[in-house]
Amino acid sequence: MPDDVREPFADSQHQRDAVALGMWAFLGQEVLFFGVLFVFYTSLRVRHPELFAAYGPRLDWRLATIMTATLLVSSFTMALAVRFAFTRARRALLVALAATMALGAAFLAMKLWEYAHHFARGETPFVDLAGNGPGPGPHSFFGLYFVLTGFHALHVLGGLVVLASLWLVAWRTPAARLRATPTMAVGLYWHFVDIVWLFLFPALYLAARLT
Amino acid sequence: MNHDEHDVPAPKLGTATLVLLALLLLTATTVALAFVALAPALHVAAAMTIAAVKALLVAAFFMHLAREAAATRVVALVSVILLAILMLLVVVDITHLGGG
Repeated sequence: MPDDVREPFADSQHQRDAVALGMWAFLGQEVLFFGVLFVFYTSLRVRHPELFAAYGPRLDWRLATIMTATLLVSSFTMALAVRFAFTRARRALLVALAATMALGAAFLAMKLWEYAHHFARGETPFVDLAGNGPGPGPHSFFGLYFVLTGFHALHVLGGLVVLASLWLVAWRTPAARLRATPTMAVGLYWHFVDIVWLFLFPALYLAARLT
Repeated sequence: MNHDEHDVPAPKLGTATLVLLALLLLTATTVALAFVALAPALHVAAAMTIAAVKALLVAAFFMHLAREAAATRVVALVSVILLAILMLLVVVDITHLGGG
């Protein structure tokens, strides 16, 4: 059963295609936003590879591997949620959305735990509290780390807010009147945020050779 | 409930499960590779190639890009090409021109 068709679309497929195109255009801008952050990364990595060798091992690659798996499974449950939205399986949709949110929240909790851990060890972004003197040092590396992972975490947080509103709408709407395209649009965003992490994970946590 | 499979963009449970398993396997591979003694440039190239393959799997299946309209696929492709140009020129600037 297709979504009810709104102006100016001819049919539900036309409407769905337009939403997909619009979301990909938005994600194209997001690619360039994160692209600039990766320029920051490349600049520091090429000019000061010694920072990555010295401070890369201070990042917890074991926890980050678990975080990666958590986001990947959340993408899986999100893809199922989109499927359930289109097949009007309302109960399954509610469960899949809730699972996606729980996994996203778990990711953020691990991220915050990590941040607290770094701050406790004096590994602060940009500001050198340890008195290492002028020039690049741990604060440069952790500045990069906090900016990259911080903007990513904000995107996860934004995704959680939108997912929660989707869940509430699905909770209050009878299956026959459920619209599938909003879930699809949120799904595209959620998967994109997952993809960003797939690059951040090796770039930061696996930058130095593990032993 | 009846539905036309053509109207459902998201993957079936079986397909989605296979994609997830492939993604987890690639994650394990990239972690294992980090333990291997390789030239630093080779390390980066291997890690980024694996990440790109994972991104492609997510985009093609979870984001159903493989079955979107041609215009949508072009928009996605162009954003990746523009990103590649941006990164390439930045690397050229830093390594060859001493850009500060």
